[in-house]
Amino acid sequence: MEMIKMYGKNNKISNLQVAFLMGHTIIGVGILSLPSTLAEVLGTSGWVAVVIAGAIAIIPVTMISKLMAMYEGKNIFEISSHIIGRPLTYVALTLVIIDALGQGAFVTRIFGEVIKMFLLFSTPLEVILLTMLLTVVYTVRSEVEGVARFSMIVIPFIVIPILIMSTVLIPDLDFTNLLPIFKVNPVQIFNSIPSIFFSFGGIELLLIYMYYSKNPKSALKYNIGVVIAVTVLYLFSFFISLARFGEKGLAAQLWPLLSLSKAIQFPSAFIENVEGIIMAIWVIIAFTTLMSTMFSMTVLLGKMCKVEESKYFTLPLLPLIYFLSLIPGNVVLIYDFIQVFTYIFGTFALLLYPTVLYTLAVLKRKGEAKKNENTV
Amino acid sequence: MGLFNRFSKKKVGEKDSMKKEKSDIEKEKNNAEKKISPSKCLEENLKCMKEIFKDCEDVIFRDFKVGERQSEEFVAIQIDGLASKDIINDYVLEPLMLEVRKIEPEDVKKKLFKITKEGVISTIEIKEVYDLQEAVVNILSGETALLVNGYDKILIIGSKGPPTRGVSQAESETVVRGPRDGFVEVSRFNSALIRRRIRDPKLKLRNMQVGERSKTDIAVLYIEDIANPHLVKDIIRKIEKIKIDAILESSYIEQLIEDNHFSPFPQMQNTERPDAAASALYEGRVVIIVDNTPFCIIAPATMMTFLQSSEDFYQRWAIVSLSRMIRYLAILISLLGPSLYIAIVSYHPGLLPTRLALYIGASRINVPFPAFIEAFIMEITIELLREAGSRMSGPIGTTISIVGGLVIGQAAVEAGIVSPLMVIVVAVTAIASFMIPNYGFASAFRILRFVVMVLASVLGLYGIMLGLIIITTHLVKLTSFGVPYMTPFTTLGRTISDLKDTVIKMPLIVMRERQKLTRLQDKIRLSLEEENGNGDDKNVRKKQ
Repeated sequence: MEMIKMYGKNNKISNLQVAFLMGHTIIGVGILSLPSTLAEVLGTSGWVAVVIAGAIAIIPVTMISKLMAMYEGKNIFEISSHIIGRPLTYVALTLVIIDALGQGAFVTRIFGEVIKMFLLFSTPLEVILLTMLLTVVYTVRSEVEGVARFSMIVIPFIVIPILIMSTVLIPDLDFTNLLPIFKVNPVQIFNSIPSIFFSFGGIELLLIYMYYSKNPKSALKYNIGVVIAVTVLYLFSFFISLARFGEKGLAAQLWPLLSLSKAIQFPSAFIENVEGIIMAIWVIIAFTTLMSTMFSMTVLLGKMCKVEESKYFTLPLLPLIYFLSLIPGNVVLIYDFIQVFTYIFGTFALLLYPTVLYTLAVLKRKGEAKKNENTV
Repeated sequence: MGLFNRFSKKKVGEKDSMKKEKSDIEKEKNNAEKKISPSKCLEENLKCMKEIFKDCEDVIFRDFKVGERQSEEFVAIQIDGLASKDIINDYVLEPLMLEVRKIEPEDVKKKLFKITKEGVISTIEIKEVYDLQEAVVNILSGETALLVNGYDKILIIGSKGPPTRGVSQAESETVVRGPRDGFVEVSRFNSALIRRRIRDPKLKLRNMQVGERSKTDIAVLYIEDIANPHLVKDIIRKIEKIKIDAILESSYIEQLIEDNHFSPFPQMQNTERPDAAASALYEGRVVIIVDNTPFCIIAPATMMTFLQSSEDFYQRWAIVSLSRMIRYLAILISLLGPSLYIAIVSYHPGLLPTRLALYIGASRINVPFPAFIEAFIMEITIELLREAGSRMSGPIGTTISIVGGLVIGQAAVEAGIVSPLMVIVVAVTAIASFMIPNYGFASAFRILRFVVMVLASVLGLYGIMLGLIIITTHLVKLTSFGVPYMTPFTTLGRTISDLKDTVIKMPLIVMRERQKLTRLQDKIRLSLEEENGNGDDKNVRKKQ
């Protein structure tokens, strides 16, 4: 009988759960404003940018999966120290933590603004943010197994209502708004790729989750599958918003998907206005993203401070995220803030760091293999 | 540095007052060495026993003489009411007093004990003990002790005849179709009821006595080549560690061996029906029978098992799937009913269709309270009625429920304190909470309903979502003997075939494999005679 410890915590989760965790992180908040950004910059051919960005996103995913499969059973701190040395690892991981922090604060603030605008009109923003963060802290304290199982169990509650509502929307859509589809302007698309690409931000957290996978070697197909699914989801939302609002109308919206929800009408059913249900799903989506970022921050802090039980770092992070999220004055400033932030830290964490680690690891392996050949 | 102790995984050893440490178990073994040895003289033994049972006036001491010349002295000790007098009269006293006279006196004198035990006493259960304390415990369990003059050992004759009721229908779980026998308060009868349904020598039964003063008989049953041996060992080890003075009911055991003491959700099932217990054994789970209670414990349990009832396997799959879906819906209604009303009426009236919103507004015009006060008043009234109804049994209880439910509800509406929709919501919620088969599981949702109501009154729909997230997190963290509580919903890998029995129950012919929640050894439950291309049997039971 295989000796995987079944009773008690063994801190390993299945590959499917790892992939879904990463998926939850990506579908954070980017999905809200992505269609309007695309329409503003590229018009009806925005879908090309999404597809290209998705294709590019597969590269860091592959690199990270292969890297963690090479160093099976070691966490990111050990791997990174092995490849680039300990002092540089501290610096690099701090930058990753700051990146996760920024994303977390961004998600929190946008979430608070949306709730205040659509659901609870007179509640102070601070109360909304604080209650959300406290709930996230409670979930993150249950470590990997709780976080992973939670992310698995909410999936049907997100997917099924969205599918039902999309089918109801169909009569309102005007698919001629999608034309012309293939009016592609390569230079424009090339310029817009960087900002679109950061809608896939969250992939770098795979560095942290793959450590907990039971079988890292076969994780690659799940991860790529999730990235493809996310791309399809973005395309889907873009097409539907475009069909509903048209190119210029879409560019003028702030959060097109939420405006879509106002258009959904179940004919004379019990709930006329499905905004409430969309908001409920929105709470879950933002929650999973926040949970994911906060979890990776606590784990990284724990590994850097060499302690086993990293769940005690969760509560101190709460005021940090809270105050960071309250810095921008209004919604416009939030988006400006996050642009700058992702250009600096996002590039590092998402592109630079995994690439450097992977190439150096491959070179090291080749070097060792050569050494072994020579000695033998 | 002591402040940072908690960061390292080595936890400072905690002394659980209800659990025995290894040192305690060793101390007990040492103490047990200091037994009271019976002496060879009958008088001394008798005096010792009478000392121990001083002021226990229901203990019978019967001294009699045996042999042709009435030379050997015997004393029989039993407890009036606990031990069966017929067995002793017919099979012990009569042979000893009458039949032994026919044996030669010299033989009798030399080998008295041997003759008594092996040749004369014609009961099936008999043993020797060498310790007075052990004999006392046996007497208190209903056996009869026989003291023989000149020997330092005591004969214990099995004569248990405790007062008990007959096997009747389990009152807490009734079915339309299915067996109607239920457990009784004697653990030996209960294990017999289970044995009837599992005629396999692999059904193992392990006896234990738990409780310092009560010394209650606990039996742990499992089927050896289906159940996971680690699970069985874990349960037995946890029961052996219990150190409490009395076990009055199986819930004491349940509360002492569970993984998460502070969770409102039960982590073990309990049942009064032998067929439910037998079906759990066939699935590789472990059954714990406790004396003096008809409720036996089934471990481990997951949310899926709490929402199954025994009737599910005796009816056809379509109706069972429908009832399962309604049960899952009932959980949601039971948890969220009043909270949704509060949230929608107070914070988001725009969510309702216009006509409904206008109707609610009109019906609430005269109500002086805001929605959440209304909801709390009605909920607390229902809880009071429920408690009152369960205190009073029989006709008074039903009268109170009817009076309370109909009259008070109607009067409250007419007095203008609550709106009629509120009464409907609260009534439907109460009915939904009765749909959940397991009472402990339903009670958890009763409690959580109030928590979610508070959250809804503060933060509206957002508060309800937060409450759901917190409850889901708690459920997802929970384990029952190492098995995650929300299997198979959370792990789509190994246990995906368990989904055949959750919301929708597939017909029996499709459910070939047992529930995988506990990593079983023997995985195939049903095999059909099929041939693959070579003419060999497919689906042959393979022992793994």
